Amino acid sequence: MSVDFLVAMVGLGALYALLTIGVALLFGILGLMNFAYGEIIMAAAFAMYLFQHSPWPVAVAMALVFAVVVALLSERLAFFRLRDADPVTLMIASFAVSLAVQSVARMTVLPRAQGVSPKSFLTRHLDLLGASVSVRELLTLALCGGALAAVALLLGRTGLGIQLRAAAENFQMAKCLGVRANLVIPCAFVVVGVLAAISSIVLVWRQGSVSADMGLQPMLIGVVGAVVGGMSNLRGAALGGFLLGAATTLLETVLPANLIAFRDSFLFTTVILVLIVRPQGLLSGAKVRVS
Amino acid sequence: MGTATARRPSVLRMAGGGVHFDGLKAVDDVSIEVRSGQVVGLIGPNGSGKTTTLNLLSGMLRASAGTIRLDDVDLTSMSMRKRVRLGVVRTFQSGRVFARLTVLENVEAAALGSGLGRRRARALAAGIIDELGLRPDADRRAESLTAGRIRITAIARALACRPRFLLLDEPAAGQNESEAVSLIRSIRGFAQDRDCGVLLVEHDMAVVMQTCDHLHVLDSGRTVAEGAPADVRRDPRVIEIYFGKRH
Repeated sequence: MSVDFLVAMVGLGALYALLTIGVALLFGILGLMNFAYGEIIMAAAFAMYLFQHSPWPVAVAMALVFAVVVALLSERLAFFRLRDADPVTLMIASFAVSLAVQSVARMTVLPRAQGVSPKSFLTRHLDLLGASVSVRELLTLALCGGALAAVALLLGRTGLGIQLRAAAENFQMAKCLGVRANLVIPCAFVVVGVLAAISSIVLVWRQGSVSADMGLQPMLIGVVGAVVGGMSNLRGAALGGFLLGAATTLLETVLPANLIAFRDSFLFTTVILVLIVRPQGLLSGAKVRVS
Repeated sequence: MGTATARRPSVLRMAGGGVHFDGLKAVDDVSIEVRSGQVVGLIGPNGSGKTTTLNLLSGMLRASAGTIRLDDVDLTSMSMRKRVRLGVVRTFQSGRVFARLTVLENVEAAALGSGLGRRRARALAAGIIDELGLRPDADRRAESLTAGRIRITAIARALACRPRFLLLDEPAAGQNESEAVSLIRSIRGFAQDRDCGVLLVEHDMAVVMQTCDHLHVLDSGRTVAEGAPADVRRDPRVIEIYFGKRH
């Protein structure tokens, strides 16, 4: 395997892992299958479009702000009152939020797809171990890998992370132990907003355009990856997303040119096979019971 | 571990407590009292209402009748979380630990929930883990533990909530008598150091007799006897419940 292929494969895997963690975190804590996740990604992408002529750190910072604000607003305006609702009600509410935000964007700022001019440094190539590697792929890997490492540190090494993981596993029990819902839930939405923003920045770099419905596909990738890895297990969800991304790159490389159009058919056939063998997901273990 | 804290003695009291499901009285007119530093055993045959009484005191179930008070504070319609904040903490028969968190993280999560900062929460969790003999398992995920160790982890987690009253639902199930007595004596030592009252639901009469200051016996949801263990053991109604009528 060549270095450029490896960088592309691991980079896309890391991007998809970010998407799946964003979906799985809220599902674990609230039972919320958040279909509005795509619109948080869209909000960040819109910031990239709006600030495309500003220095890139400004555009990136604004993407983070837009995504976190939309994530927190969706929590405050829609999901706050539904905290104890059943998952189906939450899912329908998230559909409503998704369609509302998308429609508002389409009616106002994004009636049609808008191009975002690529930064010149993204189109360059670097010589790495004898191979020519795209800066865009390297940055995808660095940014998504860095974000994954930061999430791992937050969840594994901080008090907030321990409370988030406890809440993601059994929110009722966590609340009974005094874990504050009003701390954990908004923090989870902030984490989701940051992850969505980073994913969005990478997506805009790769696609070069922004549209009102651009969040749909990444959201579906997040849901599928999380289901493959195990919805109730954040590590499993990350693994599911990573494998999905890596398999996408692998299929693009190994499929003959006349079959490349069917890449997603091969990919999702594999997903179905995995779910036949392990319907609970790759890393979802049985819940602990002692009686 | 930490030194004893001087706290005003408290009383957790249920007066005339009852739970009625569609006419069925799962618990009926039960009055029970636990004082700081005291270990009260709640015993009775299967289906006698022991766990339901624990559910009432902890806020898992709302009382259909009666009142529950912690000193002057009325807990009767208070949520479980608020009761935990006031120091009324329970464990469950099934453990209900966080399976993918380590033992240390399970205990730390409870300490953080009680309002401690990270450093103090970790120190408290480490101390409790040492006290209950969980140190060899501290960094293992709870899902990899045996049933007995899961129960002890659940107790450690409850202790990390800094309880004033600890409600334990069969904490020693699955352990032999000497292990059970040793575990409950550790809990008792911990509780007395901190002037914490313990209400213990336990099947094993031998364990209860060795560890409790006061016993409360339920049958079919009603109190049949209460008093010092030696007196309760001689009570003819208790003998009848446990050994049947003498012919």
